[in-house]
Amino acid sequence: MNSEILFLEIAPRLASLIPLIMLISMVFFMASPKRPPEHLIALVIKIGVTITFILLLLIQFNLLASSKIYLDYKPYGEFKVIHFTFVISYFFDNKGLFFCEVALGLAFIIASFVQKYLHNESGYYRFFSLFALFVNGMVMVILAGTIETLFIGWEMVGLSSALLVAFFQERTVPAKNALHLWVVYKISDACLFTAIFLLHQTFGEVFFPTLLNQSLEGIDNYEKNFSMYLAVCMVIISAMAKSALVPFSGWLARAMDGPTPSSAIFYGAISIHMGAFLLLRFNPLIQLFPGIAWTLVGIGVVTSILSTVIEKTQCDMKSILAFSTLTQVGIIVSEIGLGFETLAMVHIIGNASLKTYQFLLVPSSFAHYQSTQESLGSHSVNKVSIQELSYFSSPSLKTFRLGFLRGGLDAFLIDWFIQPIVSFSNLLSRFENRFFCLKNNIDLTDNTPKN
Amino acid sequence: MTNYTYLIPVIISAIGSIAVRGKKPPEGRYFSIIFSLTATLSCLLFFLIKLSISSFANGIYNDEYFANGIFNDEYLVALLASLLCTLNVISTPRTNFLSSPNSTNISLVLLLQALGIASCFSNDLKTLSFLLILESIVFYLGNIPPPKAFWLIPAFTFLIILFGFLGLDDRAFRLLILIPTFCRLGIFPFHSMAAKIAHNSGLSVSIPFLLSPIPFKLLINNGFQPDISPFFSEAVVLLSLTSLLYFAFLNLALSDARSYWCYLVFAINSTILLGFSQNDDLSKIGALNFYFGVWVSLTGSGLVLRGLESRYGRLDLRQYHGLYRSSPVLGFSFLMFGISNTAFPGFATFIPLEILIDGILETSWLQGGLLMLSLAIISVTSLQIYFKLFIGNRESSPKIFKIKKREIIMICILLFLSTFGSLLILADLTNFDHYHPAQEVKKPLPEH
Repeated sequence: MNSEILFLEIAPRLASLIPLIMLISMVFFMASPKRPPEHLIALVIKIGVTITFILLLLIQFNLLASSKIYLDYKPYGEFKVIHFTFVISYFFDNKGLFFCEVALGLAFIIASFVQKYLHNESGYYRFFSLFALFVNGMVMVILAGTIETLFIGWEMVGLSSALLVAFFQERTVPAKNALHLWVVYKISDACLFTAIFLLHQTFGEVFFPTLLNQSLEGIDNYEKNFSMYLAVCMVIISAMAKSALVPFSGWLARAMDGPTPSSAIFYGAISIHMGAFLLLRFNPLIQLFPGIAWTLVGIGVVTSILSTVIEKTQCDMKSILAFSTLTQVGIIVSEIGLGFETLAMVHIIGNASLKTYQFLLVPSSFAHYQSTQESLGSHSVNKVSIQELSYFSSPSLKTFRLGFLRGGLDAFLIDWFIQPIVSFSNLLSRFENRFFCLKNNIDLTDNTPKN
Repeated sequence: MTNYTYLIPVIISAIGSIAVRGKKPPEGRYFSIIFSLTATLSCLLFFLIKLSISSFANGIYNDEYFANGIFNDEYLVALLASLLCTLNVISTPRTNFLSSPNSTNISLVLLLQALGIASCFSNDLKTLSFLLILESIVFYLGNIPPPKAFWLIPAFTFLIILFGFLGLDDRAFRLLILIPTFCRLGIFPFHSMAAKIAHNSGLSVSIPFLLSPIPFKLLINNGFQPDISPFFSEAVVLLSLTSLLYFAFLNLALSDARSYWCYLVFAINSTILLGFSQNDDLSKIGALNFYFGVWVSLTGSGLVLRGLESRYGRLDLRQYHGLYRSSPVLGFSFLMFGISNTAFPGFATFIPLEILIDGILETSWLQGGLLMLSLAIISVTSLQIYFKLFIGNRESSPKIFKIKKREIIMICILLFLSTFGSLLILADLTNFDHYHPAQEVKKPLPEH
C-alpha cells in the first residue's frame, strides 16, 4: 500500500473515528441492562486511546518527514443550506498533534488509575462513559479544523465535566456545584456560538489555517472589522469561562467535588487548558487588536495573582492544586497575549503533565506523608511551617480574607448572574400559579400522587 | 385517481380505539398493541411500496425523491407519527403501577394516533382545522374531563371553518385559525388549557396530544406570508419570543416534573413558531427540521418520565429523589433525551437549531440573542431536573420496578431515531427548495 495513502488518508480517518466508536460503544454498554465486566470497559478505552495515540504519532512523523506544515481532513464532506455552511474538519498541525498526543497519554494514565481507584464502585461504568465523551470532545477541540468542529468538542467536554462533578450521586452538594459549573459553561458556549456566527459573517467558512492568512491580509471594511473585533471578544470571554479566568474563577473550587482522577484530567490537565488552547488557535486574530491582546495579558496577570492568594488559604489539597494550576493558566494566557505562542504551548504541556501527577498523588498523600515521617523520624518533616502561618500576619488579613473568600468571585457570579435569573423565575412561577389557579382551579405546587 | 391508501392505518387505529374501550387492563393492552402496531406497520408498508415504486422508476439512488424533500413525503411523516404513538402504547406501565393508563386512556391514544396519521396526508387548512376540532372533541370521550373553557377551541375552529365556507377571505381565515392553533401549541398566554390537560390526564394521553402534528401542519401550511400583513408577522414574532422567554424562565422554578415536561414542550413549540414566523428561508428550514428532531426526543423524555411516575408517583422537584440507583437505564435515557431536546451535538436537533439561530441572528441580533439566552436556560434546566430526579440518597426500590423489555425497546428505537435521524434530516436539508414559502402558496391542494 502506498505509504502516503496510509498516513495522509487512512490514519486521519481512523484517528477521528476511533474516539467516536469508543463513545458509541460506551453508550451501548450504559444502555444495556446487563453490564459487561469492569476490565473490558477499561480495556476498550485504553485500546481506543492507544490506537488514536499511535495514529497521531504516525501522522506527525509523516508531517515532519514531508514538507507539509499541516494536514486537513473532512470526514463527512461539506453541508450547505442557502448560505449556511457546516463542515466537520480535522486539522493536523504539529502544535495540535503534540498537545493531543500528550493529552491522550494523560488520558491513558487516568484510565489505568481509575481501573483500580473505582474498582467495584457503582459509578464505574458511568465514569468511563463520561470519560469516553470527554476524550472524544478533547480530540475534536484540539484537532478541530473549523470553528464548528471545535464547538462540538467544546460542548462535549463541558457536559462530561459537569456530569463528572456530580459523580457521587448519593450526595446532593456535588449536583448543586455541577449545576453551577454548567451555568458558567453555558455562558462560554453562548459566547463561542456568537463568535462562530460573527466569524461566518466576516470570513464565510472559518478554517483555522485560512483564518490566519485572511486575517493577515487585513480587513478593509469597517463593519467587518467591527464584527471581527466582537468575535474576538466573544472568543476571549468563552475561553475565560472555560479556563476559570477572572471573573469566572469561582467555579473551580466547586468542581473539586468530582472523583480525583476526573479532577486530574479536567482541572489539572486538559479541560482547564482548553480556554488557553482556544486562545492559541485564535491568536493571529487576537494580535490584530493590540488593545485586546493587552487586556488578555492583564486578565492573565490578575488571575495569576488572585489564584496564588486563594491557593494559600485553601484547606484541602485538591483545591490548592486546582488554584495552583490556575496560577499557571493565568501566566499562559499572559504569554499568549504577549504573542509567545510556542512558550505558551510548552507551558501548557508541562503544567498539564505535572498537575496530573500531583492530582493523582492526592488520594495517597497521607500515606506518603506517613511513610516519609516513619523513614525520617517523626519530627523530620515540618507539619506547618512558621513562615506559612505568618504569611498572613495582621497587616495582610485583608489579603487573607480575599483569598479565603476566593476573591468574592463566586459570590459575584451568584449575586449578579444566577440569583437575578432565579428570582425572576420565581416571580414568573408565582404569576403562573395565580394565572393558572384563576383559570383552572389547580395549583402547580400540588404534588399529591395520583392513585 | 385519488389515493385512499392512507385511510387504512387511520381506520385500523380508529377501530382499535373502539375495540379497546371497556376492555379489562391486560386484555385491553394486548388489543391496543396489536391495533397500534398494525397501523404503524401498514404505514411502513405503504412507505416502502412508494419508495420502491419511485426507485423502480428513477433508479435505486433516487435523487428525485430527495429533491422533493424527505419530510414532504406524507407516508414517512405518518410513519413517524404512528410509530411514536405505538411506542407509547407498547411501553405502557404495568397495570399495578401508580399511573397505569386505563383502557379509556389507551383508546384515546389510538384515536389520537388515527387523527395524527390522517393529518399527515392533508395540506388543506380547512381539513386540518376539522381534524383539530376532532382532536379536541376526543377529550370529551375520556374519563378525565378537559377544562370547562376547553370547548371554546373546537367551537371557535368550527365557526372559522363555517365562515370559510360562507366566503370568508382567505387571509382572514389564515389569521383566525392561528388562535386555536396557538391554544393547542401552548403559546403564552394561550397555554392554560393545554397545560391543564397535561396536568390532569395521564402522560400517556398528553404526550400524543401535546406533540400532535396537527397544529404544526396548520402552522406550516399557514405559511406566515408577509403579504397577509407585515404587522401580523411582527406580532407573531413578538408573541413567540415572549412565550419562549416566559416558559424558559418558568421552567427553572417549577415544582413538578410533569409540569416541567409540559412547559418544556411549550417552550420548544415557541422556538419553532419563532422560526416559522421569520421572513427568511433559513429560519423556516431550521424550524421545520428542528421540529422533526425534537418531536422524537420530547416523546422520549415524556415516556421516560411516565415510566418514572408510574413507579414513584408524581415527582416533586423541590427535593432530590436519587432514582438513578434503582432506575439507571431510565436515568441514562432521560439525560440523553434531555440533551437532545437542547440540541446537543450528535443529535438530530443539533444542525437544525444551528440553522435556526443563524437565520434569526441574521434577521435580528436582539431576537437571536434572546433565543440563545432562552436555550441556554432550557439547557441548564434540563440538567437541573436530571439532578433533582436521579441524584440523592434513596433506598433501593423493589425488584418489580426494574426496567421492562418493552421499555428498553422503546428507549432504543427513540434513541436510534434521535441520533441517526440526523442523517435523514441532513439529507432533507440539502434539498431545501420545497420549503420555499412562495411554493407553499402556489402549491395546488392535494386530491385528498
